[in-house]
Amino acid sequence: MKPWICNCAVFIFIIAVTSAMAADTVIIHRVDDFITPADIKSGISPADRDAPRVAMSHKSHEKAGLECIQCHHKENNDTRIYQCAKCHKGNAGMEIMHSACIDCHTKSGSGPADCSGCHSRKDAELKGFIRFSLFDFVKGPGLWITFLVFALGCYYRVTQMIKFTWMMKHPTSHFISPDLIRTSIFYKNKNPLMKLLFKIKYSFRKSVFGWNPVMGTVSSIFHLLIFTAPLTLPAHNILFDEAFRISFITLPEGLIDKFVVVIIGIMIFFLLRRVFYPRVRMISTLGDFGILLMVAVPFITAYFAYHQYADYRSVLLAHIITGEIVIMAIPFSRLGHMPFFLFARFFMSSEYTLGVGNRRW
Amino acid sequence: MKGLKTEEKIKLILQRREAMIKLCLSACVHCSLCAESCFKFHNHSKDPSYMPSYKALHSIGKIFRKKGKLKDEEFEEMKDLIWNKCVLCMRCYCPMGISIPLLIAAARAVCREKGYYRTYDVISKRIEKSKKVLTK
Ligand code: SF4
Ligand code: SF4
Repeated sequence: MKPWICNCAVFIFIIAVTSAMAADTVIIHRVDDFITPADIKSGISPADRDAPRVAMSHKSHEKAGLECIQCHHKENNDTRIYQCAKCHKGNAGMEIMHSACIDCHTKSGSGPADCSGCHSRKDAELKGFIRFSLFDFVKGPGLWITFLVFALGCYYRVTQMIKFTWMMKHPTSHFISPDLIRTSIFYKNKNPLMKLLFKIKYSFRKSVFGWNPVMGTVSSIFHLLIFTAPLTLPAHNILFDEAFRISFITLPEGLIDKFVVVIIGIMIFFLLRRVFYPRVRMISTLGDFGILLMVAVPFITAYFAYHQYADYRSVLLAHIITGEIVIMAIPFSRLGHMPFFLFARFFMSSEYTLGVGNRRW
Repeated sequence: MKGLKTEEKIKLILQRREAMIKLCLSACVHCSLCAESCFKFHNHSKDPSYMPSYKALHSIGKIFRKKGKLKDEEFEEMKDLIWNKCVLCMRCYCPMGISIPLLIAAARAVCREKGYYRTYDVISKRIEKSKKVLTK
């Protein structure tokens, strides 16, 4: 089987499994799930009863004619938090959550009538167990595996590139077209600053910005954002800190949300370009569309998760899993142009290289 | 190489460069950014079939995928692509670091074994033709 078909199949399978597991049932958090030592110090007492988590179906409640707002109140909840236990903590939280459910059930006389009707070990623990342990796995060891595979893969690919190229004994100096020398006022100038300016202008003109300004700019913005957005997101940095004890500077989430919109927009541009621009269409294969989709999914799920458009936890799970798959796939697929790009731009000899460029194929 | 059948020779050629070809073909993102670095592309009014990656992918890419077992028509098409549309000047630049001339050279090696190479009488016929056009 062709490798890209394999990749796509595995990818689709994982998305299918996570979304099937997600379905429409949500596991409601326990009132103690978000409690912090500071909370306890400030007088919130942890719940004194322990019962299995509740698995609740949104669909069956919708069918019964309930409105979202009847449970997800908007007052004092400007940021639209959908997880009750984030604010309603401890014993007091339990009272509120219990009254919200039980009052309605007794009033309408429908639905479960006893504790185990909701706190059923069968549903919640089983489903909760799979989902929570999967969550812990992808956040902990999964992250380690991902970055290990990524780093080793990149190392392997770059060594391959080094193996196939060799160091030149006499690196050729950069070729400068005589036409440009004659016409450029910068070059004639003896001032070193002006000479530098000429060099910059010249490298710019002969780079991809010079030939193809639109594609050069769009792709630079795209690649810049695709790294900035995930690396500076506060939530990711918490994960990095937990897993590797490192963190980067962070940007506000609202700004990163806008970055994600730009990234998805540019991906649509790439897609359109692939479909309608003859010179790209002629060399496109199905795998190229597959890769584009593969990179798009983590960003789309990130957008959904931030805006809480679908079931938050399943979207988040899909986001983490697809994100990790994409990172692991970088060295082994066309996305391998990431390590290659750096290598080629700085070490390969050509009139277009940015760096010293003293290696040859 | 002497005394081998054509198929075996082609197999050998491909085997020798297998790792390099695989690396290059797998690293090409099909982005078309190499187009403008080829002077042939510019001189033929930006005809996409003169694009370096097109030339490489539709010659060695095809050969490699089918392990050298191509139909004669396909070789015939390729002949124009790699002998006339590229002069192996090594000036094309792929920002991802792929060596396109090396790929095209590999394709030429295979085609040469198959008996598809530049035939100068055909070229001179072309010149005759263009002379006629010019003197009209
Ligand atoms: S050879 Fe390089 S520049 Fe050309 S399409 Fe492939 S990756 Fe892009
Ligand atoms: S080697 Fe061939 S493809 Fe590359 S720039 Fe020269 S003519 Fe164009």
